Amino acid sequence: MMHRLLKRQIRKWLGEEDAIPPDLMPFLRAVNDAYAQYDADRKLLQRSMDISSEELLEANDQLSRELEKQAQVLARLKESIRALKREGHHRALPDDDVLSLAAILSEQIDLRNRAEQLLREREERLRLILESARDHAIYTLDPDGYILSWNAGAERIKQYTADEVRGKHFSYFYTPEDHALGLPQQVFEAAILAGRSETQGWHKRKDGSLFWADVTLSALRDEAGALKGFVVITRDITVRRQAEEALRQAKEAAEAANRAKSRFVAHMSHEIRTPLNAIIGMTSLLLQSDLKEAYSDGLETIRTSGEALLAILNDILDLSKLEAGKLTLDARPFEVQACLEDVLDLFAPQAARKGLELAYFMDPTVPPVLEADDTRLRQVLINLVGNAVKFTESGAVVVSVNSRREGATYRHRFAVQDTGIGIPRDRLGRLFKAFSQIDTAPTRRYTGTGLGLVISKYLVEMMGGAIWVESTPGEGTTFFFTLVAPAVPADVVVPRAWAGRRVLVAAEHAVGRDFVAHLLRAWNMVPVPVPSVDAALEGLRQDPSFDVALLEVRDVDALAARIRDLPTRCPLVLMAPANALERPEQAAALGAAYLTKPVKRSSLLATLRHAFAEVPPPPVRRALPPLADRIPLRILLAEDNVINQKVVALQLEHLGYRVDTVANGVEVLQALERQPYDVVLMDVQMPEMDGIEATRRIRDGFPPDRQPYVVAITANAMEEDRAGCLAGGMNDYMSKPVRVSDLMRIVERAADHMAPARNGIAPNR
Amino acid sequence: MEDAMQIEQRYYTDAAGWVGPAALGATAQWVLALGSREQVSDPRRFEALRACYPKAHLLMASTSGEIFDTEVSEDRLTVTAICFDHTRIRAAVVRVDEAGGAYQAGRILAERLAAADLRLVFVLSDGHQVNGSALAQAFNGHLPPGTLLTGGLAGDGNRFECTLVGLDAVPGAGVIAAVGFYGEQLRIGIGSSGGWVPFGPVRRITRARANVLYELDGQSALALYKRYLGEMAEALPAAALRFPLCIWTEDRALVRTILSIDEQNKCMTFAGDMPEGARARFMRASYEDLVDGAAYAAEHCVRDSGIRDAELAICVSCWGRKLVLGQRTEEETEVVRHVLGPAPVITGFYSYGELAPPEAADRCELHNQTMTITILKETA
Repeated sequence: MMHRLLKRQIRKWLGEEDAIPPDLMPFLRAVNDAYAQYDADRKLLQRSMDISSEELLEANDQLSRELEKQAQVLARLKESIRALKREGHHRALPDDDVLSLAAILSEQIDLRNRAEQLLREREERLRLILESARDHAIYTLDPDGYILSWNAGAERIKQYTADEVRGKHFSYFYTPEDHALGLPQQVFEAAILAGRSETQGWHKRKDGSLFWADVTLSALRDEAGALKGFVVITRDITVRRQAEEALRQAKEAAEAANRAKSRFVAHMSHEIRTPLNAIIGMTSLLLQSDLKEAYSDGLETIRTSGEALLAILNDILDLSKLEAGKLTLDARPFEVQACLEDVLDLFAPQAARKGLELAYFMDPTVPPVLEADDTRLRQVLINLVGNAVKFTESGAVVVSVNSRREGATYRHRFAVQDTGIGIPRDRLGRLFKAFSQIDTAPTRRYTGTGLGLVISKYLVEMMGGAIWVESTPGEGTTFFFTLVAPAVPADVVVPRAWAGRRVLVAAEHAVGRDFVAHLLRAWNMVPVPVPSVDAALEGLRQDPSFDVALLEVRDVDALAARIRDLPTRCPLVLMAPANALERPEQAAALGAAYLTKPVKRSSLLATLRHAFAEVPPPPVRRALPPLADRIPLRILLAEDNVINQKVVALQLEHLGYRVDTVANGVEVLQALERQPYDVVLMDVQMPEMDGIEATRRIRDGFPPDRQPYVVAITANAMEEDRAGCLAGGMNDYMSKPVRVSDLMRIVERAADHMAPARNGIAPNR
Repeated sequence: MEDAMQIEQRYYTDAAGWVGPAALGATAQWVLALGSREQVSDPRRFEALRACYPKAHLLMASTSGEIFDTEVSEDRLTVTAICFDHTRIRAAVVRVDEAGGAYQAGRILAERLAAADLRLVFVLSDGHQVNGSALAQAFNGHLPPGTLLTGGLAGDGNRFECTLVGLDAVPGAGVIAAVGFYGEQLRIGIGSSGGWVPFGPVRRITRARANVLYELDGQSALALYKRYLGEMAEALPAAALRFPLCIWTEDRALVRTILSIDEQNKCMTFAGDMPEGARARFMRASYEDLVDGAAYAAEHCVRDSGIRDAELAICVSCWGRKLVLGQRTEEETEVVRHVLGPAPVITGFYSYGELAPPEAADRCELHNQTMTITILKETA
């Protein structure tokens, strides 16, 4: 096969093929091959170029598609990175830089990996903790309460292996009784509602034995709040429960023992007090008879010793009550100044005998009226002032008080300063401890149990305060104590100084009259009701000693002249309906206060305050010769409260009376069996036998000539209580705290009452 | 010129018999006889040479065309006999199946030839059964440092059936023979260049085992070759030589030609390793490119060694080049002569693979599709 070009060339240059000389043929074949190869090469080149171009085009297309895909991937990548970085820093993302994106991605993946690693470590740690928690059964539940996991502690405590309980409901361990009560369901619901429920109860072990379990069921929720399951932690606290039970029994036993001890102490003191009262009573009876001086000295010693013994007994009784925590505070409004004065009054005779100054100082910071248990405050002050007077031979005893505001309330600091013997430094610390009296030497100069300070410490601490002492031996001692008490407005308190004041009340209508009289009586005043202004004016003319007069008037002008003519400086209060007095000035012109009807408690109180302020009341302490000199009386005091007993006894002593004391109704009867008394001051509420019962028995069981004048001492000033007392056969009444003026009034009335009796007339029942 | 290296060149053709001088006789140390499989396998040729050069090492190999000066022919036996003035030579031969593979064979040969003053090893190897890459690696590992290695894989025309090599014996298949050159007076220049240009997409070898290639970019390599060759695919595997593969491994680029195809397993066997993951690209060449390549190889020989008046030049050129160049094949031997000048005796052959260190390297590599030239000169 010859190349077409060669054929043409041969025809053109050499003529017909046949004409070619044979020698030339190899050459022509070589040329022909060269042509053919040239064509083939060209063709192959062309073809290879075409195909390669196709391939490149395909590759290009594919590249474009890949690029497109890559762009999408890039977008997705960026999106993912944004999501990953959501909570992290907010570096701007590079637009199309895959490498940067990859770097960020790898950084994020790195972060995730680290976080996952951390998580794994924590999980591992947690798992280890769970595994090693052998005293806690810790297991997890699915949201329906079926067990998912179970730790070694659970295996140990409940004796089931994880395989045995997985898939079981958690209520499996509850007793049939608990199931009957629906307890598992309650626990479950409580955990769902409150997030957590803690219960205790008997749970079953695999071997059927029970243990006292402390079970905490906590709900697990995801971020959206969906319930994911529960974690249950169960502890076997059987041993603890047994210990608690033993402890509780021990405590009960101890408390029972303590109660028995208290009963014993109370009983003992009663047992001792009864004969002691007899001794004291008999000696005082004997002392009244005409005796040789030597006998009377001996009797005096017996009586003094007996009284000292009684005081010790009373202290012990008081302390045992405090230790038993039986004492409760009874806070009410009271006047600080009156309280201080009352205490100092008690020790005035004793101080006067020693030639001691006795004074008090109230800082202007002290609110006039506080709300606290004034009986207990008084007890502390009596203890401290009593000690001060006892241990001071010359100089002064000064009580001072100041106050500091603390939020809504006040802290008050009291100081009782003396110029006595002082207390050695090394003994200061023991002062407030029971039975550690400062002078334990055989030659102790001062008697006493020292329990007063211990009792004071208890009381002060109960009142939110503290007590301490500063002392320089030979120079003196200062006892400090604080108490926390709020101030109350002074006007809600009826000034103590008003007690016993006589008030003339003139009103036409009994209802109004009685109401005012009732109020005044409640304030310890003495109302004298009269039915008309005329009667009142007449009364004032005859007896100018009324402390105040309340007059109901219709026409002031008509009365003006008569009022001006009155010989008294007694303050007047005119009462009238709101529209009757045209001008308050009319009353003012007469030097009178006025009061709008209907009378209210608060307006009456305010008006009286005003009236008494206009005309200062007479001095509280009147210089009197001892009342006992004028009215000698045998007085029996029945009062179970030691401090009140002591206060009243001291008050009577102040009036010159020597009083016998008993602690309950039974002792009253025993004392009266022993010897006659003119007056019995009877606490209404007493243990064993109360005052009402004792009075009834006195009235029923004793002959007329041995009937005493019985005076009720009531804790509250309620009218009904007083009515009850009088109906029960009592002659008179006083309310606590008792004041010297009350006692003076009682003594006077008792004397009046007994005068006819002594003349052979039976007392009026 | 005072060089004392004596070289005589002659040839044998069936038509003309022996042509050329035969003066060296027993002084010849080394005789290189290259020719068609038919010529070299004919015992009469060997016996004639043995008789003519009784003391020389007779190194014979079949070729795909032998070079006699600037002439290239397919049916002659070209003989070059050399007598060095100072240089000593030693030769060794091994059968690849007896040695246990190409690498072991190379190791044995290197160890036999190794000596302190060994300068150059010239290797002729079976080109059909031997993995030339493994052979080159073995020499690299076991020849003394600084020893140069050149040579080639024997050819079999364009038949790819059987290649023969023989040392001091009638050549046979599966033989590798090597000649070592010793002594300080020998100066050596080596140049190797192809002139092929990569074209088309860069592909990746995705499936291959040793020198067997299955897939490029996940697709059958054989099918790809067929697509490019079109109707010329019928001439596979020879036709594939028109598109050698350029392979990039981690640190170098090599040219690889096809040896055989396997239609059943859809794979192609190459003259060197096809590492998986390496990038590959088709190459092509025009006449001019190949001739320029040959010229460059010769220039490099001279420039690199500084030998301006070489006495002997041994050209090992790839049979693929001859396939492209066709009747213009001698243009590349002529350009070698032009560069080297009139002095050197030129001999050589068209091979199934060339062995030589790549430019500026002392490690030997298997090359394909290159003109590899070794020039020698002895100094006084």
